[in-house]
Amino acid sequence: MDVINGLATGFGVALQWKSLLFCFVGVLTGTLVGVLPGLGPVATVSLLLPVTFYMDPLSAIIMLSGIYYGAMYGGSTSAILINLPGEAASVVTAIDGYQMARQGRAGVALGMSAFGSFIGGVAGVVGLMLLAPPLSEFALRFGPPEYFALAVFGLTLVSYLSSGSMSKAFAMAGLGLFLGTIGVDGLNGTARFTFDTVTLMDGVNLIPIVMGIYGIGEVLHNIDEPASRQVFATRIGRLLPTVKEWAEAKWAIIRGTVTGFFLGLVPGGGAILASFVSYATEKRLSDTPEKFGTGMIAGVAGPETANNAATSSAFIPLLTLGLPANAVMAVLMGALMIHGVRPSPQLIVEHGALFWGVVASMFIGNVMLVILNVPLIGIWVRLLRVRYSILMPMILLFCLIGAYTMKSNVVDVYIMGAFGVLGYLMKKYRYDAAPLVLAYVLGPLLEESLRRSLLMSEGSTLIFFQRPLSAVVLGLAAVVVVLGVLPALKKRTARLKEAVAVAD
Amino acid sequence: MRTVDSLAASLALVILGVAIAIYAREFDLGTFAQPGAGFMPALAGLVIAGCAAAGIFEAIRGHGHAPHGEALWRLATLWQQVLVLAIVFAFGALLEPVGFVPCAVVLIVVAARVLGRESWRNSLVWAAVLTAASYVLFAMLLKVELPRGLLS
Repeated sequence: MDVINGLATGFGVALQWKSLLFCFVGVLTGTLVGVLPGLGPVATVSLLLPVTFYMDPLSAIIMLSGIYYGAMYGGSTSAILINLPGEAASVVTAIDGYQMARQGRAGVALGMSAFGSFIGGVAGVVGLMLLAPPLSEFALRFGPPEYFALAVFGLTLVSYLSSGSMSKAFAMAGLGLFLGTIGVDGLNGTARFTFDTVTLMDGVNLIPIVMGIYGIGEVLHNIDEPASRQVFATRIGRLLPTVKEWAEAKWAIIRGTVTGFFLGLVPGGGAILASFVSYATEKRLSDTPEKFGTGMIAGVAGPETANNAATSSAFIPLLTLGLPANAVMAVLMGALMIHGVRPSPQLIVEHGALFWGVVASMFIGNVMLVILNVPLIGIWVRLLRVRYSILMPMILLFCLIGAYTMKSNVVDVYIMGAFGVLGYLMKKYRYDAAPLVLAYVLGPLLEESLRRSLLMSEGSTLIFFQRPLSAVVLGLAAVVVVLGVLPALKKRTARLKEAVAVAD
Repeated sequence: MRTVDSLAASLALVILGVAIAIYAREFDLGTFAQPGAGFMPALAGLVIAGCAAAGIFEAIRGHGHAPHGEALWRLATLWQQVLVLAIVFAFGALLEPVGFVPCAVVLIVVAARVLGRESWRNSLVWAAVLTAASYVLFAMLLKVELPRGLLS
């Protein structure tokens, strides 16, 4: 019954005109950046973060979440029509979606993505609503050792699942941890790496880091590799899938919802991984796997459902444990903290209206998105023609305003510029930014829980292994590291054996 | 070239990591049983250095990760990247003394005309539109203090 009461409270606040307005602004902006290649959800959420300083926390979080799940809807539009994913979670949608567009079935592909996204998104919110309260109640029993273990596990998994080599991912996690330690140490007040400047006393802020890497860095990278964007000159045609097409996509949608939901919970998993796994699953289970890549509707419906289910469930670790599962959640966590709301197991109890308001707004937002993405699809198709030469000055201007207005301090503008260079180099050398951002956000928690745990145990590191949950979670983290290192070791031994065999 | 570039990046990270770890000793490392303020940064520095060193071995042995990155400095486009950074830093330096409106206008005109190769007319129109829109959004709707600079 708590759920019913909660939902009643939630819809009570989410249906106020202000919440509706910010929800609409959020999903609209989300769809927009999803459609436009070159601007992803992480960059947009951080670009609009400064705007939310001047709102109440509920409106802020409703709008920022709307951007995130709205981007998942928009991403498929450019993937299908111009074979260029608007954001990373729509990469696989382009494979069969673009083929469908070439066969004159663009409308059906777009329609199916929108409906699949809706089903996945709403099912994910239902899961969030049912799972979050019991999970956070359970998490109330967690002490510093459990948090330490979870933070270690989260960072390990993010590095393991990130694109590219694991050593690079861990190096970036290390860099994030380091950045998180800059400033005054919370436990004993030591000023670390401030180089006697006042500006660095409260650390390097998340906003210039994220806007630098994802905003400026992306602009710098785009100069080398300008994305060509030619709208496939085709009629959109019929949007509503037929009964037969629904039948073909039915299982893809159901499986996509389930895989997406669970992968969204995993740190470093999220929407991108969910869409890839869904596509691979559909291809493997299909009677005609060879037809994938030629315009299979299941190859569009599955991944698009999965990435939306994952965006909804990604809120669970943040809102119940205070642990962000991906870079967008890390920025959202930053937004909540700015408003004095610290995500933790107490959040649902202490800020019930906020939690249920966000849940209710996600239902409303998903309905808005179906309307925006089915009957109004024509608007977005026209938007695909917006030139990057106009978009790029806008991105620059927004980054600059955002970095400056955060504290009315130009030093943050310079810090953002520096991280822009770093972000560009990271892209060039294939270093994933997600481990850095997550480690930066989790670093202080990791350090504090480590030091508090050791104070509790009077210096005995055994405390992490005597408490069952932290022992299990740390064990899992160790397994992940072994999984990451093992293939390389195996190859090396194989090569050694080969060398020995040749020598013989 | 690519391997050399990639090695340089890994090497730079090793140096950074070691430097962090050494500098962290200034803030009381503590012990494993009682970590001090320097413990975490030192650990982070060692993680960076260790992983980057592992990356060097991977690069030399070349297993698995053939493309280590794209060719880095394309001289033909490098000036554009330098210009973007110049815009960012110049905006920071001039925002408070000169004020938001002139800075924004110049930024958009330069970015659209020089980097985007838009016509002068288009660049100026967009500069006017975007500056006005952001001014309305931030200064009027959100009541953010944007520096007035010369206009004050």
